[in-house]
Amino acid sequence: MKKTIFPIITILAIVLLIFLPYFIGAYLLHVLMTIFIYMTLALSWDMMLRTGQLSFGVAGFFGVGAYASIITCSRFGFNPLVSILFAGFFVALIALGLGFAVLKLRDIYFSITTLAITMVFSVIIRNIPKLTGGASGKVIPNVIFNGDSAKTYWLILSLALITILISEMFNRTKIHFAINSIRNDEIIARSSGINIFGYLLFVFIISSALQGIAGAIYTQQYGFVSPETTFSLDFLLLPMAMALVGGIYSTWGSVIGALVLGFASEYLKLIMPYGHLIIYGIMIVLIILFLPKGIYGTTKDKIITHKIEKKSLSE
Amino acid sequence: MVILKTINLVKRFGGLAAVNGVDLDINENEILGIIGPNGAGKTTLVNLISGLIYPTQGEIVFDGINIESKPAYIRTKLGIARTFQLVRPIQGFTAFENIVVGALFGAKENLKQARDSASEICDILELKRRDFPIDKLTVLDLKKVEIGRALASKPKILFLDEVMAGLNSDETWQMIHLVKSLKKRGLTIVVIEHVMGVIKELTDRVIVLESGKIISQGLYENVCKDPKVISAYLGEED
Repeated sequence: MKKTIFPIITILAIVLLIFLPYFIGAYLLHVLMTIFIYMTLALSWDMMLRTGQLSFGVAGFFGVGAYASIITCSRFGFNPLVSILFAGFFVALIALGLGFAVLKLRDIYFSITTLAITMVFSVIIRNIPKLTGGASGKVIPNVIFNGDSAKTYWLILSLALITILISEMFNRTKIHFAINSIRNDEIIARSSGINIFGYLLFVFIISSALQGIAGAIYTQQYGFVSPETTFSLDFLLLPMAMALVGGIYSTWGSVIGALVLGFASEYLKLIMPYGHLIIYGIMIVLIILFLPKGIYGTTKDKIITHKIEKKSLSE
Repeated sequence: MVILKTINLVKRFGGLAAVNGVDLDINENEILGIIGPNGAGKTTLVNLISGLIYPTQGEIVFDGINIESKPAYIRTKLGIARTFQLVRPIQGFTAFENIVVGALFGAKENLKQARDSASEICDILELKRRDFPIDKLTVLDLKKVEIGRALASKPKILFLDEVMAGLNSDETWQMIHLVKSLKKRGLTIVVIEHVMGVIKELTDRVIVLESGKIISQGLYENVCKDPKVISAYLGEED
């Protein structure tokens, strides 16, 4: 029963999301686009966290992707879509190189190094003004699809759906067993035959590339990059908050978290233009305090415990 | 036939030689017991062979190839499996999923094959609560999960590091039967154990380590009478 209903709901939801631009206004569509970008970042951050590595490098890869796309577009005349793909490959390549250094690190050392890398990226970009526009940033003459919001929405929706798909693949295949084992006990993982570095590098490259592509699409939407705004720590902290509120180590946790916090932030902005961030912050603190595993994680735990209790009773 | 051989194996931690020139031959399909007082280097020897640490000097030859510089995960794939003194199940996985991990990566199986071999292993181990999360299992079940994960990698040689510790006498007997049944399946097994009764019951041959050196080896009965072994355990007679 459950097995047939779930795919039908998924397909209906996807169809609904695809046709959404015909039903809703530009404002709501714009809110959704922002939510999907953050959802992609939250999910990709969570993918790395599932291996046990707390990455603070999200904003860095996001920013490099943004710059790669804008520069190839304006300097080398790339088609915007091609430039977005290029940004993904470029960031993947950087992640491959950096991976050999940072993935030997663990715990707080890994986190701090990824944060430092973000800073280094922004310093480098600030200091090659000929290519990047330096501190004042760079503007491209035309935003993607000439500002057609429906087309932009579909592009962002595809990125979010692909990210969800990758995340579910990570949760349903061999990779799930590998990264969970690595997070729990590296010695056990090694003795069970898992190539730890290989899996870490793989996840690091995939999650970084997704962050790079998200950055590229986000900037193509506005047509503008600058070190301050593009490498803003908002692109690290908001996705982290979303994943934590929704529930880490799962696809649906980040999805729910992004929707809840995304809509809450917009709504709060409307009802109290000043000080909405205070309410927003209090909301995050309360959820994490009372639902430590997030909305999705706590609910799922309750259901599983209930099932086991039922099973124990019937035994 | 010798399946695993160490040649002048040495591991120093700073000034301390935990393993100090061990020449060990392990024959195919035997149960070898390794005994020795605390700090004799038993677990260090297993760590060296399974690849968690690398030797300071010496060789390890498994199935005709030198493995002393190969990483642990490669050695597992080649057919060396081990359990840990303190059981280390993967939290968040069920008992069954813990065993699946060994089959997936140690035996390089796909998800379906791994599930099949894991449920086969659960049957062999008589593990009942296989769908329970790890923190809902008994000590004996946890030990079985630990052995199950090792077995799932389809090893040629299995190292059991104090697998009887923490079991009551009834459970110990179950475990002894289990290990014997594994031998019948063609496995080579190395048992590290403190309980002499278990060593006597299980092993074909015993090696005694003291201060990182082999001081005696042979049948359990003979080794027990060896004055060097007695003095290692009880101290010199005045």
